[in-house]
Amino acid sequence: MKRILLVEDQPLVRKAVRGALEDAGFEVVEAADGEEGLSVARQSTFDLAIVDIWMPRVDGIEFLKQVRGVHAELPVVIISGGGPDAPLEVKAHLAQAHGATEVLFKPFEDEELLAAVNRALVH
Amino acid sequence: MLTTLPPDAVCELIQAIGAPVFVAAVEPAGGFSFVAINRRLEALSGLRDADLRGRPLDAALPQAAAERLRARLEECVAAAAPIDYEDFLQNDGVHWLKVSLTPLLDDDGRVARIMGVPQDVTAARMAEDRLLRAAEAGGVAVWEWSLGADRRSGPLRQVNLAALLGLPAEPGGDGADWEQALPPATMERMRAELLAAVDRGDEAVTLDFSPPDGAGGQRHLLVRGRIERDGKAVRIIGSTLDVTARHGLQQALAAERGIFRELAQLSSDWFWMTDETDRFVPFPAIGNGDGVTELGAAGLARRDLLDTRVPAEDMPEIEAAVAARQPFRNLVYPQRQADGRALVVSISGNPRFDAEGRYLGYIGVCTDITARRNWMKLQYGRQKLEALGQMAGGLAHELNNLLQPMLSFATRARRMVGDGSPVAPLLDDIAASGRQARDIVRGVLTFSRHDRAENRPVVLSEAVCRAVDFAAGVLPPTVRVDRSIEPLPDTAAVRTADVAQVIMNLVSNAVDATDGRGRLSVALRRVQVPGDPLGEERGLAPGAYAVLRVADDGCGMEPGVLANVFDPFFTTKPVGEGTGLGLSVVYGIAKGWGGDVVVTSAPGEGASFEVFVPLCADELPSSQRQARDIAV
Repeated sequence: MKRILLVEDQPLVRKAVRGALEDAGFEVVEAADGEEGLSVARQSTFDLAIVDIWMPRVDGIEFLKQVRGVHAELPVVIISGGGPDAPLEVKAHLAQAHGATEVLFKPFEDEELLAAVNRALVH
Repeated sequence: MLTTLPPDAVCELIQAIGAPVFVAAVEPAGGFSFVAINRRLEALSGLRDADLRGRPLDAALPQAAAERLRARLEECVAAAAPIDYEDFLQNDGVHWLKVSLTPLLDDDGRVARIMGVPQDVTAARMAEDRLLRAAEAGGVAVWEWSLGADRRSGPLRQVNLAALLGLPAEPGGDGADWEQALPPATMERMRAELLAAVDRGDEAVTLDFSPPDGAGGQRHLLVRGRIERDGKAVRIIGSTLDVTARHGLQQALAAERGIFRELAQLSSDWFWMTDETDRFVPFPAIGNGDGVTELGAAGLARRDLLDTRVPAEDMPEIEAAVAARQPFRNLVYPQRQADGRALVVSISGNPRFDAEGRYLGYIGVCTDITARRNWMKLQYGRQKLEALGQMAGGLAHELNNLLQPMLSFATRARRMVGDGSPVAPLLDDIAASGRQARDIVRGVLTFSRHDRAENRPVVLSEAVCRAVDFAAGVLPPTVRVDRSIEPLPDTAAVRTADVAQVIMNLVSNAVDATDGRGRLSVALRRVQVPGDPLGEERGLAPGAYAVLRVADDGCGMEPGVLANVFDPFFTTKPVGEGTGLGLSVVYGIAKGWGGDVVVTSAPGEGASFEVFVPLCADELPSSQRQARDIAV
């Protein structure tokens, strides 16, 4: 069973994404922000991370930069809701520049999520 | 009759005349003798008729008086016409006389006798003398010149004149003496003007001349005279004033006025003036700066200039200040010109009062602040849109995070309950609703987006042609679309989907404006900034732009609508028919390209949207493009 690290500060979004992933047969470990995500990532191994961009403390971009030190090859799917002070596409590009494999814009369909996850896993 | 009557009869006759009268006979051998004098002359002269009758002039009068009289009588005989002259006689005192001589002709037409009427003008003379003395004491030059027959000489009486003319001494008692004392050129000119006035029959004459002041400068003298005629005799009584000081003041005033006028013309402001009824009066002293004349506002009230189609702004304050006769500063109102041009002006004014405190009206300046105001409006509009964009971005972020679980849980729950469940259609509706909400949020995000991240160089004219083809295909058949798309080879860093959306939104907007029955035009042309006035006005970065113009002949827009047309959620359509996002999405996309949208419209005159799209200077390698995009 593939293990997915889900880093997202919104509990309901976490719950929704986790539900869709678990229905599809993935094992999901949750983290409420980038900092918690990094500490979980240091303690365990994952096949994939799904990371929100805008989060308190350590945001998605920062998580991307630092997680490379722990898992150099970890595929990352960015889920973005757009930002309050920066246009979302720029951030999405930044995420790609820092090694994000896929970018999804909320709200996305479960099918879109699973398709992106599967593409990232074979990447 | 008087020529032949015996002396007694003559005497009898002349007693009846209410003035002193004498009659003298012209002796055949030359010379004159008295025929008779009346009692009035006896009383005046102290002579008696009986002593004079029949006696020659020289025997009857003292020598000096006899000579003066003889000269005049001879003059009268020679002229064979009446003459008037002035004289005096001395007995107990001096009597000034004004004498009229009338020749009496015999049957052969020869002057046989002369009747003289010497009137006593001493009282008038004394009064004149007193005036002269007063003038003398007051330092005023007054003079009286009895013009001689040659119109050069003639007795000239004066006070203070020599000093005023700068002459070292009084030249004499005759006009000719004075003429010689003055520079010939000056005198020539003055006499010509004087005699011209006399010949024209003028009652007064004014001359000016500027003799040297003896210190290297000039004095300015003003001569005013009253011309009196009595028969042929002409007497000019006048005064000569030194107006050097006044002349200096006038010169200074003219100089200051010139400077003021020059400054007024250099200033881009207008000057205005009103009268005590608060109506504009021309202000010609300042030439081109006279706003009243420039505007053709003479006789109008301030309110007549008000552009009533837009809010009056500070007009109530202006009127309150004027009603209270208070100064006011920098108050703004919209002004409509005679040529129909609408301006926004800022005016300042001060009330004016005369020495008695009577209100005279206002004087003030007027500044055209239309350009400044438009610029501020533009800036304000931009800031507003940017702020709205930021807000929309934040709002979209929050909503997306809320929509994610809604959409996700609804679809997941739907999977769980299966198709047969009565809950299934409800869950489908929740998911559909969530997707609609998502689309609206995406529209808002498009508006708030300012980057060019996914833009790739495309040949803009081709993208536009394809988009117009597509748009025309979905329009009602009653709409006619005129195309004038230049086949520009230039590329622009845009997404073809965005080009399509811009054109679709503008075209559908235009179709709505024409009620689906109008005529649209879509045009594409290339401009250069700087060089294109509209582009410069919008402050676009220098470079080449393609201008996509979508125009309609529809209902047009009121200024109030025009100002808000790019605001998200602003719509004139009935509730439910439009989201109000169409034009703001166009704006967002154009700004994202680094371009701009300019809209021009007036009610009933259609509308025109011009989208400025920056063109690529030259093709960039794709790797550089990527780097530039990231750096945005």
